[in-house]
Amino acid sequence: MPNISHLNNKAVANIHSFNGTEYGNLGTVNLVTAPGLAASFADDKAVAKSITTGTGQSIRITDSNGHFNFVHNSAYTISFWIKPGWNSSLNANIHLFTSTTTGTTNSSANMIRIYYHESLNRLYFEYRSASNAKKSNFWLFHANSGNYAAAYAAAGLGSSYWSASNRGNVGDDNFTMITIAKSTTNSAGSNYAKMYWNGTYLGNGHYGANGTGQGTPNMSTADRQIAIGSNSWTYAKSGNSTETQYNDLTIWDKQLSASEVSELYNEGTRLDATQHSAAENLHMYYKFENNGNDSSGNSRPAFVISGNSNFESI
Amino acid sequence: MNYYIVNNNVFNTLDKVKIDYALNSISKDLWVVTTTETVAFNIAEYESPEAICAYTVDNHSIWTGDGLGVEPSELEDIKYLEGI
Repeated sequence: MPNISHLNNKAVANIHSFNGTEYGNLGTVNLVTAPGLAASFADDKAVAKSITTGTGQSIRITDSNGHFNFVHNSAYTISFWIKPGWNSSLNANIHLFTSTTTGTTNSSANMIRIYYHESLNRLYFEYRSASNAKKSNFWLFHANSGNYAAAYAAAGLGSSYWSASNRGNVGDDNFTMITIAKSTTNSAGSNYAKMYWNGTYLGNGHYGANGTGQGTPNMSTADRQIAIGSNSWTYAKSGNSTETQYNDLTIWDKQLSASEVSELYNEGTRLDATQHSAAENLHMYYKFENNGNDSSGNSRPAFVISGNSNFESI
Repeated sequence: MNYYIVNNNVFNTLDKVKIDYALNSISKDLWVVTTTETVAFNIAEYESPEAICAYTVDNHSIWTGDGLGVEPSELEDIKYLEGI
């Protein structure tokens, strides 16, 4: 019989008694079933991005076989779990997920990024094919009104900004699941690119249903380099103070629905994404359990973790 | 566009509609600001986005906590919006 990790969605480690009997006095509990409980796994490690910048400190993939070549009119979903390490003196942006054309230092070359600007408390999603051909939107978390109210409620940060000392609403191990789910429309507006905090939709964002931008992005399917915890052109913008941890990156070749994102969040307990109801659209999957290998079953390239970036227990 | 370093008192007098980018220093007493307004009482004025960003790199401990400065692309991408 497999070990029981959760009971009624509560981690066993947090259960102190059972029908009035102290946990330590329990004997064997026979035949406990949990219909509908999502398949989880022993998630013991995450990858921590060194706050030192440069290629030699990066968490990255340098692809040469077209494994990640989403373009302006692709539908995709990028989701990862994050435990912030930065503090309120960052006063700059930190790049959480980024991809650009392999081998270039041009920040506009087929760029897709999710980044957080600490001094403004804004979470950005942007893609571009040139400096004058780009689409973006952002969500901020400290204003409980208008376009911002949904993000305010979802994040639970209150009036203070997101940092290691104010992580807001979190799942297991103080990680937050951040998800962008984009449709085939060439727009970062919230009608087409939906941002989620844990399993909760963040609403319209500042630029609303149609987003903002300049020109018309026209991305190519050139191979990409992908970075976690920094940008992918200079491998900078990695935060300050202490290392930020990242875990369970999933990339899907469709726009996950709100219910599918909620299923992925699994009430805060990271699930085995290969058991997700949309698993046939699971494009890349990185658990970061002491290695950077892909677990999607699609033989995608592994992340290379360099320098002081490393795997850490969570 | 004009590129300035100003203090809080001057920043408070600026026409916020004309500000394109603004970053308050870590100590919250200075601002990097790009604006179409001409500001006479500035602490420093720079000729280009590259020049003012180079200043923030050289003085990064005033402006950012990650050992870096402001990138020229940030001046373009991260817009100042009054009150938020």
